[in-house]
This record gives sequence, C-alpha cells and structure tokens, in this order.
Amino acid sequence: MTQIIADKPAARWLPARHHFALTRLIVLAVGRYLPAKMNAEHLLLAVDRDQSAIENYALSIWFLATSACYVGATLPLSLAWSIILSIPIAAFVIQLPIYFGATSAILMALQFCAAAYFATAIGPIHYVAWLSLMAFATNAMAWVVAKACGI
Amino acid sequence: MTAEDSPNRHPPPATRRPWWRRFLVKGVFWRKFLRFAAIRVPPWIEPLVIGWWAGFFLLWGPGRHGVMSNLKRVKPGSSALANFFRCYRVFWNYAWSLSDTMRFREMRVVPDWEFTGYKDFEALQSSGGAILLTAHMGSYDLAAHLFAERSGHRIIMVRAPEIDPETHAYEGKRKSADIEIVFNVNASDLAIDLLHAIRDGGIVAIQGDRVAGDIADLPATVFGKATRLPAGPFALAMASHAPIHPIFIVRMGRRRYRVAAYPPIVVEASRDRDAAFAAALESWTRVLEDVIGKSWYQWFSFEPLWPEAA
Repeated sequence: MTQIIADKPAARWLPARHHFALTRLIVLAVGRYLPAKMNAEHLLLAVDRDQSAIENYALSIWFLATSACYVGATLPLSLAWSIILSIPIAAFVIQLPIYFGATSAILMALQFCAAAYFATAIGPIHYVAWLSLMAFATNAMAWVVAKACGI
Repeated sequence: MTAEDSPNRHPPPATRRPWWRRFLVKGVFWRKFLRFAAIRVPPWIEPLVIGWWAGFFLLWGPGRHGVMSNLKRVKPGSSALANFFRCYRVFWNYAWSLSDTMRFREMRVVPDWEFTGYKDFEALQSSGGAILLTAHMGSYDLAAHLFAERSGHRIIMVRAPEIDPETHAYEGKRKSADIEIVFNVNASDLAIDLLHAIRDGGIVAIQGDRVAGDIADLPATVFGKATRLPAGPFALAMASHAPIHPIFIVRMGRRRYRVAAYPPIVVEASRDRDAAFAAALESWTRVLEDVIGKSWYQWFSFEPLWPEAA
C-alpha cells in the first residue's frame, strides 16, 4: 500500500520519492531550498520511489542522448546525417531489449557496456562515454553513502 | 432477466474475425501490448517510450483527424501545422494517461492528486446518490478509483462499448473490482439500472462531451458552433432528482493529476422538459468550454464534435 501525504507540498522533495541513490542524496542536501508551493486547495502526494518527474525525465533524456551519440558514431554517414538519423534510431533501438524481457538493471548494464566500449574509441565520442562512466561511478558512490547513512 | 444478466453489464461474445484485425488501431493486440509495457518498461525510460509510441499512433491512427478537427474549433484561426504539433501533445498526454491507468490497475501505482473546487468535490462525496458528469480528459478510470476509495460510494461508470469485439471482451474480463462499468448497449434497460443505482446512493459517472453510437442527444452550442451532446445525464437527473456534478480530471505532469470540481447543476423537474434540459445543458456547455479551452491538450475526443468541420 503506497503511503500518501496530504497537504504538505514540501513532501515533493522527499528522498523516498526518488529512485537513484545520487538523486536521493541531492534532494536530501538541497530539498529544503527547492520550491514547495501549495498551488491547489488540497494535495495528496504518493510516496513512491519512481514519483519524481525531474529525475525520470532527466534520466530518460540522458539515456537517449548518450545512446544517440553511440549510434551516430557507428553510422557511416556525414556528421549532419548522423545527427539527424541517430536520435530516432536510438529511440527505437533502446526499446528493443525491453520487448525481449530486459529489466531496468539489464538496460543500465547494456548502457555501461556501451560506455566501456566507446571510452576507448578515438574521437569526441570517448568524452560522452567517459561522462557516462563517471555518472555510473558517482551513483555507485552515492549508493554506498546512502546505505551507510540509512537513506 | 435480472440486472446482472443485462447486456449492459457484460460485453458481447467475441465473434470469429480475421486474425489481422487484432493489429488495427483499436484491436486487442495494442491493449495487451500496453499492459505488457506498463509492467515491463522501467519508469525512468517511460518518457522516451511514450514519446515514441505517441508519435507512432499520431502518424498511423485515424484519431489525428478528429483531434485536429476539434482543435480548429477550440483554437479558431490556428494553422494546420500548429494544430498538428498540438495534436502530438494530445496523443502524448493520452499515452501517459493510458500508461498511468494501466500501472494503477496492474501494480497499484498511484499518482499525486491536486484538487480545485474541493468544496464541490466534498459535496459529491457526501451526497446520497448523484451523477458525475465529465469529459474524455485525463485518466477518468484512475479518478473513479480515487472516488470509490475516498467516498465509499458505489461507483457506476457508463462507457461506450469498444468498437472491436475482441478488445471489448478483453476489457470486460479485466474490469476492476472497485468500480462497476456498464456499457450503453441497451439504453432503456440501462436507464432503469442507473436510476435504481442513484436511488440506492450510488454515483453514476458519465462522459457528456460526445455522442457515441445510437444514444439520445440534445442540441447544444459549444465554442459558438451547433453540435449535439448526450441527453442521458440530464434525463437521469430529472428522473432521479439527483444533482449533476461536473468533475474533470486534468493531467498536470508525470504521475500528477488535478481534480477540478464545479458547482452542481440541478435539472428542475418541470412540465416543460425541453426548457429544463436547455437550461441545464447551457450550464454544462459553459463548464465544458471553460475546461476544454484551458486544457485542450488533453481533450481525448478522437471523433469530431462538430462533424461538418471535419
């Protein structure tokens, strides 16, 4: 049964409403400074770890943008055509593992493997790959901290 | 025949049809696919998946023509190109609403709720028997569960049957235990059932923004143009002496919905039925115009409300 919090807009920034350790730590640190206006007569907020819109949109955009860069780097086309085609191709390709039963962890593992592969590539793509590897590493450290602090 | 045997409560049996019809826009394949996706797609990749499929159905399905035709009336003077992108926004919101409903049904994932007109919403909850009149907006299925949980009332949702018999049978099998869904297949039987339900303290939820199928209607003017709206809610209100509560569910963002309640509409029981209906219908169309005008991007009416504009 999902816990519901009534008429407390600040509850939007509860760490428990975020999925990943890194975002949990971030909202724990800065949550009290984020806007929490009561813009309705009555408010019911669900405490669910996938409830944060910002976290989910940000992650979705990062995942698509990074994957599009990898697709673009493998396309044997000019830079302009690679940019144009890589986004729809990546949006489609990312979904394929899900329809074959991949879970959230498998998708992240695939993204990690792709980052590890392209990190050794020549050209600007390796910056994208290293940025992804750093994001994975930061989240892993945040997970350790969150576990240690019981967040 | 008892009320439980009524054809309004049970979908018609699915007849044997060519196998490929299940892959048409309203075919059962896509309902099953939606259920699969709601269960399997990780929430953090959902925006991408929904964006993709909203685009797919925008380009494939016939619904685009209905939405663009309605947008022409709601936003007079707008260009076809602008309305095409607005249409994508409608499909995007519709996909999110379907996904949220399915996640609730299958995994009990609840969204955040905001309320405006809370006094009117409480009036509905405390009333003994009422009609909840709404439009094809937001996730009305999801909201019906909220009403059922909060008010403790018996909720009866009136819906048009699915066009595809297999889809209809599939949806019929997956009906929720919290709310009753009746299909307006046989109008006279249904009217009697609903009248009894209201008199027993139930809340009957009806969508009053579109005439679907062979149901009684009334002339109305919406956004300055003549059209027809369902007569059923007003006839039911007159017969049962129950107020009509206009309530709309507006999607505000990811897993966030607003319940917008408006003051109740009372249909006076009078000898001059036409005048009483006209007055009530005018109040309803004013509310409808206000809500659709503000939230056109989630008016999920895929058929033209003004057919001549199509």
